[in-house]
Amino acid sequence: MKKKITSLYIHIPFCRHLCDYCDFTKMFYLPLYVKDYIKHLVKQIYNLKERKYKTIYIGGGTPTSLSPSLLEELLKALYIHKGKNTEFTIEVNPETMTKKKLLIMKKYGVNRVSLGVQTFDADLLKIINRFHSKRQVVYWINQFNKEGIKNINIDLIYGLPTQTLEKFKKDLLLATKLNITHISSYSLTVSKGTRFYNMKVKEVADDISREYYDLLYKVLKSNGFKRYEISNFAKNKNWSRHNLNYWNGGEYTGLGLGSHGYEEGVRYQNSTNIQEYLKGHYIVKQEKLTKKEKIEEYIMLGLRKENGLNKESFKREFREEIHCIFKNSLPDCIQNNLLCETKYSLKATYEGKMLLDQILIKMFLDL
Amino acid sequence: MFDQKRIRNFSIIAHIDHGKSTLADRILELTGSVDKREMKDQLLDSMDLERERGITIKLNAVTLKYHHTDGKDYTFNLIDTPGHVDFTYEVSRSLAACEGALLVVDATQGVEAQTLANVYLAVDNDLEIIPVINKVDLPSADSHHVREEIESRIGISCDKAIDVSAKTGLNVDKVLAQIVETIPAPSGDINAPLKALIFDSNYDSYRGVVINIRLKEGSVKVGDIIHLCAAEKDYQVTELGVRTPKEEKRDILYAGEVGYLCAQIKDIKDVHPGETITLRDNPTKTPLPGYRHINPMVYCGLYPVDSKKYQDLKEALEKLCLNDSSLVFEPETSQALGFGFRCGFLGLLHMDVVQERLEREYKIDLILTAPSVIYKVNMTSGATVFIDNPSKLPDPTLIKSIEEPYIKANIMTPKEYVGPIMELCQEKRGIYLDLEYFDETRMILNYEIPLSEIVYNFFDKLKSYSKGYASFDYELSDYRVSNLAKMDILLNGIPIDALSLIVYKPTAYNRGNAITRKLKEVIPRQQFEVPVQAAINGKVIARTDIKAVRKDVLAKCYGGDISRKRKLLEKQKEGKKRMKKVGSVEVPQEAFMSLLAIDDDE
Repeated sequence: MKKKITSLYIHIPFCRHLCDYCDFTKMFYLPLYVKDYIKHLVKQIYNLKERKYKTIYIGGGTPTSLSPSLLEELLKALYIHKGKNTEFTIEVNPETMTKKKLLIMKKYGVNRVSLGVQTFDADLLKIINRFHSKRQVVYWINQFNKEGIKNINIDLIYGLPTQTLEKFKKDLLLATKLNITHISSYSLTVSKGTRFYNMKVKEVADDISREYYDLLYKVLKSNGFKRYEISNFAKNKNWSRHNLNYWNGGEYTGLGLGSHGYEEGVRYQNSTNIQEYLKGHYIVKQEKLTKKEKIEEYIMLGLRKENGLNKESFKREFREEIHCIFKNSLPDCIQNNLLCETKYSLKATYEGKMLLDQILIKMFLDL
Repeated sequence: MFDQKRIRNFSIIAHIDHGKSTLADRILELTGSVDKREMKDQLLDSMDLERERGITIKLNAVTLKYHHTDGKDYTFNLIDTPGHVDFTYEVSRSLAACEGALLVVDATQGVEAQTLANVYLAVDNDLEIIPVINKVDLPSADSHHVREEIESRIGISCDKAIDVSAKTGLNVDKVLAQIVETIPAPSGDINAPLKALIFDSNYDSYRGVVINIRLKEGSVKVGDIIHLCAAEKDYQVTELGVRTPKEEKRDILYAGEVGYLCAQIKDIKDVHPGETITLRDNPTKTPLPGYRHINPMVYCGLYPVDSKKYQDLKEALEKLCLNDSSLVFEPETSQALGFGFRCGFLGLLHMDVVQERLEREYKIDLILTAPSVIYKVNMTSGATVFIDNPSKLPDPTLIKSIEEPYIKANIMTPKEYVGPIMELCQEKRGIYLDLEYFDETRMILNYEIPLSEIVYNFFDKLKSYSKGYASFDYELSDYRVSNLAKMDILLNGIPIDALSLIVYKPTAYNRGNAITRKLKEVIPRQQFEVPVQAAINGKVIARTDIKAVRKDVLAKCYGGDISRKRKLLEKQKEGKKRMKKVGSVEVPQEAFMSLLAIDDDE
């Protein structure tokens, strides 16, 4: 029996500015392509088999770089697939946001926004080539709230060049005072192909990254933001249901340049080449997962969650006890206080979450 | 019709890269022994590894037909020699099977120490030597200069020297003609009692040991009962033949000929190069001179990374031993590494080759401990013990003195590098013997150096001190008392037997520091802090700490990151497989050998 696909991801690769650290599929906003691109997306959206999704997520790039009319075209198409309780998220860049776009979002049922704030520190913003200001961010957060879009995430980054723990703490304290429900925070990763990589910017050492993280966790916790995934914190359980679907190993449809999808046990990627995409050559890579790979992903994702993974679900999914599969690594990690278990769940401890990659390698060796 | 006068037995002497194998290939081609189509480049070097490294490790002999300008057919036996300092004895034995040798010298490089050492071996064996100046097609070739060098430095006349290009085939025909004219035909009474020289052997699962022989006197036929003079064993000959290079069976071989012999010999350890074969019922009274039983010079521990592969490793070593009489091994247990073997090698290259073959042909991931020489330990009780594993050194209170092997090193270098090389030799505790001019530009340095210092990063340093121009040759000289002690390496407070080494006390502090620093570099950080200490007699002389990992987790993991991340972890997992858990610390397999590549002054 085919599983129902409950999540839909739409990628808008266009940006008015390219950020130095971003390694998502992205390109300058070229009007020549944008119109055509939206046309393709809209067609694909109409052709989707599922009627209603539990979550829809428009990410980028910069979705708000679209003109109001193109944005409307896209949202209108998606609206058909929105159910009553659908979580409908769009990533917002304060710089390209307008009142008009906000009203369009509201009209088509967007109920969650994610703002790529990264930092409020003016000097740091300059370093990462971002052109918004603290004031703009605060303004838009208020606007969204006023229009009833109250489920708001902001992204914060740590480990930037010249950033200090003090500066990061200031960002965190400011963020927690805002009228938002969710904070995601990541250490700077310098990936190949980014401007930072070419500038030979170094990631901070792991012990420093750890100090940032400890600070992050402490400040957010004491301000009511509870961690539910390694890098994600929410007030009053306003979790990102779309992202939780990833971490639960759920399937999803991905549309748009460079986006990934996972359907019927197959992970696929859409073309990253805009010309190819506009010829209708969407999916370029496909990979059917073996059972072993599925197990690997299941633990890799599941252990990122605060409460880890459910042992019963694991057993149902793979028809084997998790303890029988990870014979050596589980007792070892539990003994070393990296993992802990309750009757139903297996989860990484605080320390374990910090060293999750090491745990995973150990566990993979058992497979 | 057997005609001794129409046989020429010769080998080719050359420095690495001077073109020995290419010349051999051309000779094979010109004599029609090998179809051009079936020519693999450099046919004589048949092991992959040899071809990759451009060196010959296993000897080969091939019998060729040559139609000379006098209208007669001649039989050429080309006997190949290994070109490395680890195999000097083997070289001398294969040269003993010849009457002549081609001395191949690169016209762009000139004579090298290695060449010199092998030429002297040839001269010792009374061989007629034909100088062949190779690579004359290259723009930087200077044949005239090289000829002068050969005449003045080696003392061989270059009247008959030939300029060739083995690559293009230029003048290779002249070399063939010269072989007939210059190299004497073998002599030896075909009616005398059999005297055949073993110069090589290999193992074949159907026929047992296949021995390569040169008959010096008498004859041997299928069915004969032969007697190995040194091993004192008898066997019945089941097969005789020559290689052209395809095997051609013969019923009988006569004095002067080169061929192979099978006699259902099961153990290659009975068959040593230099050994004499005679007939049981009509034995020679005087076995051939020059036979030596050669012993391994360096030992190291060989352990499977995956302890389940112990049996596989054992079988692989047994198989390698079938073809390699100089490789020895015996089981050994290490607290750190579990079950493995202590293996003895002729030298570092030999060790490298064995390691690579085990990993490549038998697919066994290995941990090698740093190689050790054999120490002679004189006990206070008056007894003497030989130690090939540093961790087995007896308690210092029971030791009166420790002796270590010295070698006589012969280093040829352009004179501008003499200073740095002398410095290197001093640093390596070398004892200066003499320094002589080889020609206007080059000098030969003679030193006595402890073998353990040669094992420890000598080659690489010699290379860098001389920008690669120095060449090096050595032979074992004798054992001498040295101021030595065992240095223990402790990881997380636990001494790791596989990392123990015997060091020269006066420089132990530097060595200890260098080793602990190196280990800090090669051992990945663990989830806890790991102190690395070096200690002598329980006293810590150096320490560094490997800091604990504090954070190792992917920041973002969403839709697009999942496959990428899984694959990344898989890759890291493969790396982890090559690590060995020593106590509570994960140590990569290279860590053990990395100790060799340390510069004490760094």
